[in-house]
This record gives sequence, C-alpha cells and structure tokens, in this order.
Amino acid sequence: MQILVFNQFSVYIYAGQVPPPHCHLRFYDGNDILLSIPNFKVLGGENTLDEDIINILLDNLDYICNKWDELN
Amino acid sequence: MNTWDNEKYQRIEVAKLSGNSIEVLFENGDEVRLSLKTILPQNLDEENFDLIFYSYEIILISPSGSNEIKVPWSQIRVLTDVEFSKHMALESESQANEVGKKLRELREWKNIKANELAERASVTPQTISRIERGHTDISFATLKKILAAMALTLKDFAEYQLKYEQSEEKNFNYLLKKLNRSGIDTNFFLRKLIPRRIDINEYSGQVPSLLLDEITTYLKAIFNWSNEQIWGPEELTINVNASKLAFYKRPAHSNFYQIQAYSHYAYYLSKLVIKSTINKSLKDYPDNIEEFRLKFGKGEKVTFEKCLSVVWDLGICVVPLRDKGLFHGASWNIGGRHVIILKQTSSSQAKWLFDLLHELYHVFAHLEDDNSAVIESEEINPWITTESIEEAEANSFAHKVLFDDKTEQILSKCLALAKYKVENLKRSVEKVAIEENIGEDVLSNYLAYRLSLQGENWWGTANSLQKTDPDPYSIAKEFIKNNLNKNFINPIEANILTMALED
Repeated sequence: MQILVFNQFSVYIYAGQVPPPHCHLRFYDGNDILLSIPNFKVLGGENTLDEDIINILLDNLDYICNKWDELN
Repeated sequence: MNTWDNEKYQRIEVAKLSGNSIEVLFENGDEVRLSLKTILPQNLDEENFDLIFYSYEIILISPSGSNEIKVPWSQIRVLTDVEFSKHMALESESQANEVGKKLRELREWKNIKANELAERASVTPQTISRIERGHTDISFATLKKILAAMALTLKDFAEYQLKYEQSEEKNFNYLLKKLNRSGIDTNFFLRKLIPRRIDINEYSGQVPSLLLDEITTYLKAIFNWSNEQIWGPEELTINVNASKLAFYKRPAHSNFYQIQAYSHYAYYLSKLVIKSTINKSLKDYPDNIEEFRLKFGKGEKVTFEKCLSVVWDLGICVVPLRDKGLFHGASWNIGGRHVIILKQTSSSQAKWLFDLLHELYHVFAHLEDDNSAVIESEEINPWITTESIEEAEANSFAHKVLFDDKTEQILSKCLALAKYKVENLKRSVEKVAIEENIGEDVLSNYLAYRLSLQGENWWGTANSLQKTDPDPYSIAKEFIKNNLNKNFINPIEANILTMALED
C-alpha cells in the first residue's frame, strides 16, 4: 500500500512480505525500485538513488520502519 | 545488471484468475502461475475474488469488497522465480548480519557491555545477542529501543550503515602500506598514532569503518592530510615545514623519509606542548655560560632533574620520547617559544643530561629566529669535534656546564689520584666525583672518552658507574606532565600527546 507521497515518487510497503524488510519506490515516470530498510540498498530496479532521495527517505525512516512492523 | 533490475522483469502485462490460481504475464515475456493459497491470509476463502492489476501490483478484491489484498511484483517473483527468491534470501541474511555487526560496533564504540545495553533498553540479553549474531526476526521497534539506549536513532543507524557501504574500499592494510611508503613505520603508527583502546589485532585487517574514521582523524590532525589524500590513490607526502626549518645534520645512511615523518610528528608534538603551556611565564635567558651555571647554585652538582627544573623554569619545554628510529632529538623555536625534544633509548641519566645541555645550547645560540629548528638525525655524540662547528660548540657548552669549566683540572686530579694506573681509576673517579660535586656517571663518561683517545677502552667501567634509577625518561615525563594544561588542547590532541608520552 502507498504509505508516503512525494513530488517525484511514492513509497509503498505491502503486508505479508518476506525479509529483508523492504519498500518500493514508485516514480511517476514509471520506474519501481525495491529497497531494503533501513539502509536503502537497491534490491531490484534500474534507477540509481540520488542523495536528495536518500535524505527524504532518511527523514521519514521512523515512519517507514513503523509501517513495516505494522504490516509484517 | 541482474534480471530483476530490468523494469520489464517487474512490470505486469496481463494478470488473470484461473480457478484457484493467478496467471501473470510480465513484460519480459515470463508467464507464471501461482496458487491463491500462497497469497491469501489463512482466514480468507479462496473463491470469488476479483482481480485487477497495475504495472507493479495486482489487487485481489473479496466479493463483499471488504478485503483488498495487494500483491507487488516482487512477491509474485519470490513465489515463482527461484533465482529471485534466492537473491532475497541472501540479501536478508547479509542485511541481518550487517545490522548485527554494526550494532555491535556502535555498542563497543560507546563502550557499553551487552548486558548493560539489554538492561538500558529493557530487552533480554538474548535479544541483543540474537541481533548481533545476525538473526532476522527482530522488529524495528526493538531495534529502535536498543539504539535509543545508546542515544542513537534509526536514522543515525541508517546513516552509519550508508557511510560504511560508501567506505567499503577503505582498507586498513592498504593504509599501512601507504603510510610505510611515506616513512611512517607500522609499529610506530600502531603504538603512537592511534588510541590505545583500539586493538587492531582484534579485526584481522577488516577494521570497522567507524574505527577507520577515527584513525583518519588522528592522521589528519598530525600530518594535516585530507580524507582524499589518506584514502585516495595518490602517495602521501609529509609536509616538509618541520624539516625545512631545520638546521640539519643530514644522515648518511638512514631512511630520509622516516626522519622526515618523525620530524614532522615531533614538530606537531612541540606545537601541542607550546599550546598546552601557553600560560607558562617566560624568563630572560642567561647571557653567558657563567650566568647559566649559577642557576644550579655555586658549586652545586648538575643533575638531570635539576637541569630539567632550570630549563622548564626559563619557559623552555622539554619533551622526552622513547621511540626507536633514526631521529635523536630536536629543538624548535615556535612563535618565539622554545621546545626541546629528547629522544633516547638509554637509561643513563648522564646521557640524557648531556643531550639536554647540548640541545639547550642550540636553543641559546642557534634558534633566535622564529620558526627555526635543529634536528638531530644521528645520535648526539658528546665527543664529536669535527662534523660541524655548531655540534662541537654544543658539546663544549655541555662539558663546561657539567664540569663547571674545570674539565682539565678535574681530569688531572682523577689521573693523579689513580697514580696513572687504569686499575685505580674507578676508585679515584668515585672519590673525585664526591669532592668536586660532579656525578660519577658524568665524570666516568668523560674519562672513558679521554682514555679512548689513547687507545684505552674503559667504557665497560664507565657504564657500570651510570646512574639509571630513577629512569631519566620517567623524570622528564613527570616534568612535562606537571607543566601541561590539557584544557588548552582538544581531546584528539590530548590523546596524541598522552600516547607520545607513554612508554
């Protein structure tokens, strides 16, 4: 489910997922990146994360982790 | 690039229900089929769901519309592609190990025992142990509590992990080799340039990033290098300021780079000592040798301890070092203040005393200009007369102070009392030393030197008369410790100074 919305992308976390903890970054241009939490390592996807995106994710890390705990 | 990095691997072209299964066609042409059972929660009936799909997910909607099960492409792939499933399992294991490792590093860095951390975080010690050993079933809520007990947040932790990944190319052995090439010996580096509490052997070459960062901080402070210089491909070069200023006796056979590196280190220490004795009052230096000798009291014995006291009292700092290597002492004028570095491996008070007086002469005679220096790259030889005028003058000054300008007179007295027989000399030295109030170690060294000019080797007896207790290095250390005020320097500088003065 979509848990966060930003200018360039949204963050999704789904229920009942296998580890490692992960989220999807879905860009409005059509790309999807699978990222581990909390270190945001790319597990799948073509896009390379720039520093701005990492910083946005870091600023919302608590919320993202809470959502993972809640749904998984 | 892995298959799963391609967007066509992820994007769903068509998805439909087929009995109790879902059939999915991905844009890369992969057709997969998975049972509803593997997706639906146990309490939901498998029948009569509707399915809609988007590029990256399918949504199963219960007949009443009250339940929506969203399934991302990654979950479909984990269930249908063994390779992707393996990839996720490996990543899971590796991430759990990383989290455990980093948590342990942070705990050790903060110097907290595992049991103590468990108590602080209100979790069991087993929980800490499980996380540190890389178990995967730990919630973020627990991790957060543990981090909070170390005054850290999840964000701090993530940033630390990210930083570590970026610095994976940093390698301790690479650094050692690079330092060696620049003239910094490994043994010296491990003993003096990194804090004692870091036991490198514990990490068998894989030094954690946080420790590497700390080590980098020390190197940056001492040698004024940047991160890029330390970890980049270019060779490290020693800033030549310390040695360029020197009034050099260039060694014939030694490793010039080592001397240059050690000179820089000694120069840095000297600056720290000046900084931490900034409140020390300065006195006018004596105008001549007689005036200087009077500072010991008329006819009083010149001992190493007394000499240190006189020198410190003039506002001249004396730093004792005991590292092995080719650098044997130095004197600097730093911003109008003088520092003498004594570096001796000997335990003879007489030898330390001689070196101190020798360097003191350089201070009085050769270091009037701001930022001037003398570096002794070879062992100070009290008997040298020909190598350089400055060295001969410094030796002559030391002898005059030690013998109160009566060197020949005292020598004659010794020889006469021994009836010019070598076997009687030891007793006569002991007697004359008392009568003239001179150290018998000082007198015997000089006598051995004079006898050596006649081809007589009397050094064995002279060595037996050396005073070694208390150890001169410890005496000099006490003086500097009593004079330093570490409030004037930062903790890194204070650590560097402490390590320098540890035997």
